[in-house]
Amino acid sequence: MNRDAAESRADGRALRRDWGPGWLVPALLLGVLVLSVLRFDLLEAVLGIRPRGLLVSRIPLWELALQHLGLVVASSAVAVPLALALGIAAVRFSGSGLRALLVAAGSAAETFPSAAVLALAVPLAGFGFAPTFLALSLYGMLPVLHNTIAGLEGVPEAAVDAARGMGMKPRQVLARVQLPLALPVILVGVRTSVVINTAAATLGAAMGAGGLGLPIISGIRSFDTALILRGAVPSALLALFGDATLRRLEDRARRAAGGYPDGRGT
Amino acid sequence: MIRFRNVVKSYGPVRAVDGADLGIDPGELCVLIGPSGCGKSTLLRTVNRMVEPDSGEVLVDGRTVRAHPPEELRRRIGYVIQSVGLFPHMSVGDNVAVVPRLLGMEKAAISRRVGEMLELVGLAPSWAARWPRELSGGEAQRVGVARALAADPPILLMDEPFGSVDPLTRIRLQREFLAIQRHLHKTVLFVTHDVEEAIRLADRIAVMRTGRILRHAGPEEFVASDAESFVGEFLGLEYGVEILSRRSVREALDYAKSIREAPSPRAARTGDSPDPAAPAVRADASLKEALGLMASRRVECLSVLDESGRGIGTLRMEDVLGTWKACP
Repeated sequence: MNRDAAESRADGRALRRDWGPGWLVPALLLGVLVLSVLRFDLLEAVLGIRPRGLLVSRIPLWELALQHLGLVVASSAVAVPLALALGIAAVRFSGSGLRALLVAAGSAAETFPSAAVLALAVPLAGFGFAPTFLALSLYGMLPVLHNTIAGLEGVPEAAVDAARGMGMKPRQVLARVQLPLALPVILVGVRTSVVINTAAATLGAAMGAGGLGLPIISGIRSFDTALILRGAVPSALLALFGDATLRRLEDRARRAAGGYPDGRGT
Repeated sequence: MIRFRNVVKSYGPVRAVDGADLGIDPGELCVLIGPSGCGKSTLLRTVNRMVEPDSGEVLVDGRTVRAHPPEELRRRIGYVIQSVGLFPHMSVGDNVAVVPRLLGMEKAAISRRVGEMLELVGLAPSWAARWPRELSGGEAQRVGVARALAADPPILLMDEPFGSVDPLTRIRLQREFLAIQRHLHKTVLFVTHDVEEAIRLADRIAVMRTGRILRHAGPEEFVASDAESFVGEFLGLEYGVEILSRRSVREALDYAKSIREAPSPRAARTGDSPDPAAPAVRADASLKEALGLMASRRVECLSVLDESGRGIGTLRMEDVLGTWKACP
């Protein structure tokens, strides 16, 4: 009994120690990202390549990067809260068939390629920012919805039973017990959503939404590898930065959940 | 204090509780015992409306539980479950403080209360800063009991609270809980399937089977149960030995001495000055332990020692066997 307790205490310390240098990776990635956007010519000089210039856009790379970031942030800002609300409703009213409907629709939609979702958004919303934003928002909801349901249903039954038995109202059980304990799992869904959408947003260039997809598309059209890299490298760095940052938040949420669940993320 | 009147609860075709009648007096510790699936947990959960009966009535303090909104009712009834259900994202102190906070108690009063409760269950108040994941099973269940008692509810519902800890820890927790109960006099409904646990804790035992209460009586009244009946079979033949754990050697000795005053050939030989050849037993040991010692040493009498190791008498096997019935 004492040894068990001592071991779990050591685990607790290890979990706390993990904090601190963890932010180094996201910070480093941000630095490289900013540098690549402002001075891509440095990388090109190192690699000894240069776009042939036929289709090089006059829009500076940093502006494309901001457009790209705007697309991802705007679509996630809509997708995450909406999916969270739907997920909560699905679990709370699980008897009503809403859960089954949402899970089935979500699974079906996940098998859809993001390019197809974007293409289908055009007839609905025309060209430009709107269809891309719409498609990314819809597509970005799926992992969050999925993980919200899984996270809430994975909360230990004993904790929920105890919370109800002590006299918490359903809303209090949700806010004080279920959501804090499900948060690490929900955040994994948010990270997946953001990373997927950072990549998928490059396709938005084909719909006139701008972004880092523009040099990629132009590069493909003119067989210009160097031009493709101008879009691909910063967008990959942006995805890596988002991934690393959200991982830090997950660790933090996991610690706040008292080390629950025990898995150390994916 | 708690009264079940013809309570029925079905799950699909299964009648989990099938017309249960039971009354629990204020300050009484009633152990609800029966095989798995007999409906004892379901019956317990009707008291705080975690389960709503299909028919029948559950009364607390003479009022039907349906007169109160479930949340308000539950805040005034302590609830301890086998899996403890501590909130892993809250410190030990915050776990204990849950119900006082729900009741809107003042901050200073809450933190004072948390410290008191932790001390009551044998943990230092500094444990409030620890996390549930740092606790062993026994420590977690102590916190579970402290949490249930934090708002000083008159009623405590305990659903196999010591079922998932090792046997030694279980006995220690039972002993400590009994000491707390002697001090606080809560009305306790305690569910278990462990006969020994029931004997150690109960003021009264209610034996349940297929949703009905078969018998409700004091632990010592069950000794005469017909071995052929379900109650006798469930409690087992060893019940007659287990029940001896409720009596101390000192009680048997005092009884033997009181008999000696009366003219009786047997009494003349019991409670006498200690026999130096007999194995020694402490006066605060239970009669079950004394009987065990007799059996293992193959003797029929033991010399009894007090706390300071002084011999105070001789205990004979026939006194052990007679005492549970004769003592008040």
